[in-house]
Amino acid sequence: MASLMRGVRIASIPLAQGVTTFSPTPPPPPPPPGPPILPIIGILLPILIAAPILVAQPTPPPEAVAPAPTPVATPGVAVSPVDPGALGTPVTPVVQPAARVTPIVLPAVPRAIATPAAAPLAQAVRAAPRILPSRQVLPYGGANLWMPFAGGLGLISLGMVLRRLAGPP
Amino acid sequence: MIVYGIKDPPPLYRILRVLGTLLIIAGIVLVLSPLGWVAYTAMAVGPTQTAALAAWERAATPAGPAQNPAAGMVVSIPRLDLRRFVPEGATPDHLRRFGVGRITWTALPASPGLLGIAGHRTTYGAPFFRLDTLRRGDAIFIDYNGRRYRYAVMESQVVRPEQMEVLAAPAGVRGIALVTCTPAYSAAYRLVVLGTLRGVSDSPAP
Repeated sequence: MASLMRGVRIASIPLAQGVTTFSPTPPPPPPPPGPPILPIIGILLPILIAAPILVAQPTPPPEAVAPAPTPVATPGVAVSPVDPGALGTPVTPVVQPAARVTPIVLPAVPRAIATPAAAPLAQAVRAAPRILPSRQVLPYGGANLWMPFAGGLGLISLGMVLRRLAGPP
Repeated sequence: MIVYGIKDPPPLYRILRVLGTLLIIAGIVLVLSPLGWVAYTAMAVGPTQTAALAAWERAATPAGPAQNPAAGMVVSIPRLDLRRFVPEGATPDHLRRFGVGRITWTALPASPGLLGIAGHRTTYGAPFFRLDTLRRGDAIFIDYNGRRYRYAVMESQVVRPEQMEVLAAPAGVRGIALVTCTPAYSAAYRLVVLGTLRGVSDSPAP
């Protein structure tokens, strides 16, 4: 029994000594920084904005930039509503004097941004000068590209949060 | 027991780490996808538009201008350095192949009313990407059926997609309306640039 106690005591000495020689436990190292989100946005956003310009096909302007040929003006003759060329009649260059051009007067349609009440909009639609064809919307001319961009940023942020929750490897 | 740090993390933490990494990778792919889509659609439209424009110019020789109205038209906007063949019909197929298209239920250049042309803003060659930079008085040329129609920009409007009445001109008015989506990278609204006819002349030789 005494030898056992002695053994325990002897065995405990190095442990006690070791504990006393340890310095206070250093704080855990900070978790490794995740992917910097702001630089990613800063790099990708200008690229996305400039992409249509960068990839747009070049337009050789053989005549687009050149000024329009000066037509033989016929003062006092207005533009015929029917193209004379389409009727097979001799094509006479006709120009409409600037003073006789009727400016476009569109119906009083409220702007889209400042969304008005429903009643004035309905009145404006009813006040259209003629019956419109049965179409639903103006042709689709774009794409909601901001959705995958925003969704991707959301996924990146979520992934960074999960990695931070998981702690250091 | 002696060194605490070498103990393996619980499986849940490993799963979180792997899941987070996968989400970051997926997010980067998703963020880059619009860029790839813009580039891909531009490459898809480019050869078709170039071939159509070349065919149109070959047909519109000075000796015999194109007399077939169904052959389409060519829109030129010097300020945007833009020149595109415009097929008949702003159908999704035409907009995918050519980037632009004439709205068939609008007027032809030779008829009273507004000539409506729709075009993509950011994809498929982005013909109308800088349409919002047009200012009052800027020239728009339409080459159609052997004639060149010169329009001057009057104003721009931002409307909702269902506000088609913006393309209805009063009787007797001859003008043009260029339609695209706005703001860029979104299809929430439509940007409509309106112009009025200033003159008609013979089409210049291509």
